[in-house]
Amino acid sequence: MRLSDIILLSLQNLLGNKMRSFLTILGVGVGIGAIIFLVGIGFGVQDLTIKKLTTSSATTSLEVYSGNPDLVKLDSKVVQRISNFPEVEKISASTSLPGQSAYAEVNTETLIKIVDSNYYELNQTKFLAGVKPKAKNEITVSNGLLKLFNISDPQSIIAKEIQLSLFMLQNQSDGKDSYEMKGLVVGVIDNPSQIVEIQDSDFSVSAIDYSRIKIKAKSVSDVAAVQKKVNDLGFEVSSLMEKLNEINRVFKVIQIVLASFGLIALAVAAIGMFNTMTVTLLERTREIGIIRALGARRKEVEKLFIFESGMIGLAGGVMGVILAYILSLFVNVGINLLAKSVGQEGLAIFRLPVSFVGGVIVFSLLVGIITGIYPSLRAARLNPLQALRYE
Amino acid sequence: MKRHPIIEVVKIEKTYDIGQPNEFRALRGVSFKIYAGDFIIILGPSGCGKSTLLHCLAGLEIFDSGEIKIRGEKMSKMNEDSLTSHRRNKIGMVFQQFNLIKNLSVLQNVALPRMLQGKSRVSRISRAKKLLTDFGLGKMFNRIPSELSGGQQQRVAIARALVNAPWILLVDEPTGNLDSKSAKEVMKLIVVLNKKSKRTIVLVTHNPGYLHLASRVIKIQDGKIVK
Ligand SMILES: Nc1ncnc2c1ncn2[C@@H]1O[C@H](COP(=O)(O)OP(=O)(O)OP(=O)(O)O)[C@@H](O)[C@H]1O
Ligand SMILES: [Mg+2]
Repeated sequence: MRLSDIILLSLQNLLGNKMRSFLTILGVGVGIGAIIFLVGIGFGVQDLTIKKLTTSSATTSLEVYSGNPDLVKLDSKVVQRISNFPEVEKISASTSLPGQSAYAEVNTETLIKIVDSNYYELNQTKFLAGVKPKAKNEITVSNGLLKLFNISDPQSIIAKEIQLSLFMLQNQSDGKDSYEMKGLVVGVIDNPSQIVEIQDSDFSVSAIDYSRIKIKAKSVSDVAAVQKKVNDLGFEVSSLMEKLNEINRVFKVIQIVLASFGLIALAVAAIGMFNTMTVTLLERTREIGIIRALGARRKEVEKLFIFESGMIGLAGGVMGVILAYILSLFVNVGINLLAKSVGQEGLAIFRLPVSFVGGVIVFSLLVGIITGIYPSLRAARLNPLQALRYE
Repeated sequence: MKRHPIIEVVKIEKTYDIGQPNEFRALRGVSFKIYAGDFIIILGPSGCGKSTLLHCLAGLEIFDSGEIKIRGEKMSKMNEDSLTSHRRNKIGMVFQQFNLIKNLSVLQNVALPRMLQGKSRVSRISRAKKLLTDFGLGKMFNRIPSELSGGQQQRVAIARALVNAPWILLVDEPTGNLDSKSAKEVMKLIVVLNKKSKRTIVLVTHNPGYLHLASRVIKIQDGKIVK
């Protein structure tokens, strides 16, 4: 018997019992669909999280904190050493001080950052208006601060002066513990906190140590080396790469948990499928007797059954993909409506990698075949005459 | 020139449910020979073992002792695979119940044994169509068996048994489930197969009215040949 004929006969059988075939396939489809849907949400949320965290250049950056300032100081000498590492492309040091800012009768607590010229680039600062500072007395302010000043149009603060007071944390050589200055606003950055940035390396170097250094490695593969070297200097380093790996690990676990829920659904469907194949076997006992009496080999009867259940598995897998896809459309639309109603931009919470979909369909096919093994062996073992007498 | 039998049955015995209270000796030392071109009618009352005998010839039932030789080849030595191949290639069996597959079309039913032989679609379909047309069923190709009358179904079953050009046609009670008119038509068809197409036929019946058609009659009672 030709393989094509075995396929033909099993297909004919599936089609000859449309309702039952459909229900069985639907059962498998729901199980497979549950797996795909749950894991797809896992993938989608993972994507969202990572997208929020990364931009292409963010993956090559590292942050250095002073760690234990009593032992090792994060000062200009350290910055110099780090910038000499061959893997380092750029480095930016900054320090943050508590302070106050005053503008048009409003006086408010402000975080004052003393930054260098690489700061804006390495932090990928988003400007709402203006440009980065070029001279010592030029500053940028955050839109969070503008809100407190009751300014809604960022453009309107450009070229205005703000009165600043910085509170020194360390004792200065001249004994002063605060510092007053007038800052000329040249840019507005997008940040909800109240921040003022002063670009004045001379000031910061002489007055205080840095609280934070940002490093851009030459490539993603250099990140680990830089991280190790800076660690060896006695500083704490965190890189986005490291965080991403951590996040990805967490999501792997989440996906496995979600997939296990789906697997339970699939197990139920597989039992249903097994049941159907066994009932089919009983119903077709006579037919098996006939084709065996006409000279069909045992192996061929076996293949007929295996192929049939394999087809159910395959069709169930495809149906599962379709079901999960339709469900995901609804969920995405729902989430987007929700996001828009609270003023967020739309987002896709659901993603399915093609390789995963392919894998699940193959898996479903395998489930079908495995489910069919026992009924098919039983069918092949039937004595033709006894099978003919059945009913 | 000495004629060699196609099939030689030597003292075969078959007992059902051996060792159990309902043990039943269905065949008790049956011997006979079948030659090419024979039309043998096996006659006997219900339950005498006719179907059992045919099933043994067809390789569907395993006999306990004795021997059946198919052109010299001993059936007792055949394994499951050889018996399956024997059924597929050498025997055309028409069952007491028609035993057609209910969700295959008439054409597919007739072509099925050729499909089992691995013949191409074109060859099996053309042969099935020719046989069905010869049997007056030219318009029924695409019907399913339940849409045919009993007589028509029996003719489909005979066409199916012939489609592989078997060495011998075994027919079990072909008229048992038919009215007298259909029965006559079917018997006529079988006679033509023997006379015109030179088919070797073994036919089982309990109806003595057909005996005159046979080239040889074997009478069985209680599992033994009585004449
Ligand atoms: N599988 C079986 N198990 C037990 N007994 C059987 C079996 N098959 C047949 N018999 C018995 O063997 C005897 C012969 O059966 P068989 O079917 O050969 O009779 P038959 O001559 O064909 O009868 P009929 O004309 O009614 O078809 C019967 O008594 C029957 O009950
Ligand atoms: Mg009988």
